[in-house]
Amino acid sequence: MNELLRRALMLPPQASTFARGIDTLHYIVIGAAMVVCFIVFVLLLYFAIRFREGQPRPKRGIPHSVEIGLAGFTLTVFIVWWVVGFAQYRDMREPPADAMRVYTVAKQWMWAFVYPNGAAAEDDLRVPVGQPVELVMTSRDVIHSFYVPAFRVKQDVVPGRTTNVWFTANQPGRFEILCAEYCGAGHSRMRGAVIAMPPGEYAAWLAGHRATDLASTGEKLAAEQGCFRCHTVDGTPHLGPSWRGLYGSTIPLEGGGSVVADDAYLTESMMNPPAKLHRGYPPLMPTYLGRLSGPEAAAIVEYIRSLRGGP
Amino acid sequence: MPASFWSEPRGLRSWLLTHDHKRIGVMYLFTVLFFLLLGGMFALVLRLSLVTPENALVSAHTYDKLFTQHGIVMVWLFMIPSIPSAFGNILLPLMIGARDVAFPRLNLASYYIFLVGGIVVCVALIAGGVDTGWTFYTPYSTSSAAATNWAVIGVFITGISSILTGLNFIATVHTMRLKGMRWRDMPLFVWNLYSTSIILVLATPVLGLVLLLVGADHIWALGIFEPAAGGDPVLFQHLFWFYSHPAVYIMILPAMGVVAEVVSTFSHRRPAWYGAIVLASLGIALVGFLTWGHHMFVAGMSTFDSGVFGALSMLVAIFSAIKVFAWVSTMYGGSITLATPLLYVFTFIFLFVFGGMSGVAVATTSLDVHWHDTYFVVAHFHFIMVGGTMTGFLAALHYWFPKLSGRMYSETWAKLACAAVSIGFILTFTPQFLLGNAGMPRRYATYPAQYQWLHVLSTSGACLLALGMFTVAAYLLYAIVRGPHVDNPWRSASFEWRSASPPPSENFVDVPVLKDAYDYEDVP
Repeated sequence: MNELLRRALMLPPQASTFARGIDTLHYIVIGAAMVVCFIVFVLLLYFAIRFREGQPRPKRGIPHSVEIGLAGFTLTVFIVWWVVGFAQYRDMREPPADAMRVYTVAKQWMWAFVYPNGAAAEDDLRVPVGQPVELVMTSRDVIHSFYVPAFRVKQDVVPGRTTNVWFTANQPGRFEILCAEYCGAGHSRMRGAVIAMPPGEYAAWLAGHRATDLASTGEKLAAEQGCFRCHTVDGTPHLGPSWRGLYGSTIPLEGGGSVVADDAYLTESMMNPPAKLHRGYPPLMPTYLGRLSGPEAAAIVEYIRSLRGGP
Repeated sequence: MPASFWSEPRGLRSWLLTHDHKRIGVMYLFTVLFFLLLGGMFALVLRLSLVTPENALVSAHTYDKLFTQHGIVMVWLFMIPSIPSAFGNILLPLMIGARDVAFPRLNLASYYIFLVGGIVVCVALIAGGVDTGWTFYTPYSTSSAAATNWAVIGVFITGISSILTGLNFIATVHTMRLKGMRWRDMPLFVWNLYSTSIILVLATPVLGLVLLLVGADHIWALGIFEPAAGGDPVLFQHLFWFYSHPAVYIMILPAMGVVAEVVSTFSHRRPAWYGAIVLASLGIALVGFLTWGHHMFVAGMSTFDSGVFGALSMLVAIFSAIKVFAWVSTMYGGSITLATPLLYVFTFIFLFVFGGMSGVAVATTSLDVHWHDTYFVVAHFHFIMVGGTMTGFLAALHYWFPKLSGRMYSETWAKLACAAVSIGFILTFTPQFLLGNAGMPRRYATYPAQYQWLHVLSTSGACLLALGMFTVAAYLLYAIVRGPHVDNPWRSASFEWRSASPPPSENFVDVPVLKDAYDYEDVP
């Protein structure tokens, strides 16, 4: 029955411990909505035919007591739904004491996760099945929202404060993370995944998960900073120009003129993007002033320099 | 054409500087229809671009501007003024036996302020467009392109117009009723306009305040909503929804008034449960102010607050349920004529009941967590708020078209168009409920491929809806020129039908005699 209704309503798999209970309430509420809507519409059609002009009219209308009774019954049902729903909601808001905490930073347009042992990951969040996981989240720029449909959880991620969300995955698998709060041109691409793993596999992954010339440090930094959300490394233009062959090339500027993409220009573009805009690209890039230290910016420039040749 | 408010007094100047509430209402009507067309065009491009998962039609940035501008134009330039400012202006004095509204000059000023606001919003569209979403959420909006300021200022200006119209209606209802007309004698449409006006006057200043703060944050970097400067982006949401939730009642209450009038007229029966409908209207207007937090269950608000806002939202829903019971029982024992306005009311009730029940569903805190900011919410508010306002507006247009023009349109074409609009609308938004269930967030320029077939269904519905709307425009324009002359084709007992159709400039040539607005015994 659960599986049949879940599929009929197109709900995603029930991959967290919350999902089953919430879906059960969902079936009841939406089922009632459909039934009530059907009854009201059939009544309208029936009255329109039965009481059409020229048909005999009854002596009395519907007594007020019937209407008051219906209103009272409806209100009672609404209150019951509210009570059940709020009890579920409270559980979802209060993480258990033994939850594993993962520090989460959202930014345009990526997710960054840091595990208790210092291991870090971008976009893919690996968690052990059966273990409560609490995300302590903040945003670096605008409001985002952490949403895993298969878990039925969602929480806005707000700059300047932390918000929390928790869940326990009940089955191994890959479950999509979507950003649910509109955050700009890359909003619909701000996707990641929760990868729920059997506890043994998870422990092995975490232990093995701990790079070293300047360019590969730059590549790792660029991934962490979300540069690849807008810049490709294979020569295809995306929201921003591709990094392939960018270094040393002559760039046409918005508003006329041109500039050679050298170390100085690339660094300036990271720290003050609107200063010299590449013609044909929207002015979407955020500033990295204060977010990248001097050596980090240099590492990214070194990485871009390493992409001079063909792919 | 006999002398009516259309031709008397003559001249363009007499129209542009008119104090006649009917002419001002007509100017509003054509202005909001223009904005309906503009907002509808944005919606069509939006729907067409969603036919493929990778959005082959427009870039992500353009897509963002499309849904933002669709929202801004439809909410502030069509739905808010649609029924109250257009039909409210035309009918309120007629329904209470008055010559005009209480402050005719202010009424004209209100129209021009609205027009200036609309033009300023259009400047924003031309000056590069706005990509913030119609909700202007900070800090995204305060860091977005400069055209946002134009949109914010434009909406601020239309707000002034809303406040003035609300004040005017309240004063009119209090002071201009025909001698002897008691509050409980007023037609239900008047009660709904009155309730709407209370919201317009009390809620709109808060919208004005919050939009000015966004503008100030944007221009001078005051940092009121900017966390890095000690501001709070969630505060913006509280202030924004303090207006924008009651705003949905600004849209739906007048439509409910239209439904009450149409159900009564076409059932040739007094509205059942008049007192309950009146109390429910006022209840919605007042409790509607206390439910804004249900937009913020996952925004980082406290658990307790979410519970309180959830409970109060249930209370608002029960007032709406009472109204539905009253409309359905008005039809019981009636003598029903199935004309086009009543068919639109059937669609209204269908959309309103399912939209309302899905509203109760999203007010249930735990369920909202999954649905919040997904297509489910998009479908929900389009069913109840857009569907409700649009079918109410179309019912009003078809019901009062003969009143305004003195001519009748083709009922056959009207019924066909009503079917296209109704089926088109339901086909557009039903798949979106399922998209939301499946977890598709709103405002996505691109989407995972598994959702495509539902998007294709939705877009085909939108095309049918557009076809229906253009058909309505075609036969109504034809009827203005060639339609047969009529006076009171619905045999309505309501007060506005006691003046000629179209009414003369002074509304009633002789001082009208007070009669029951729902006196259906002496109607053949």
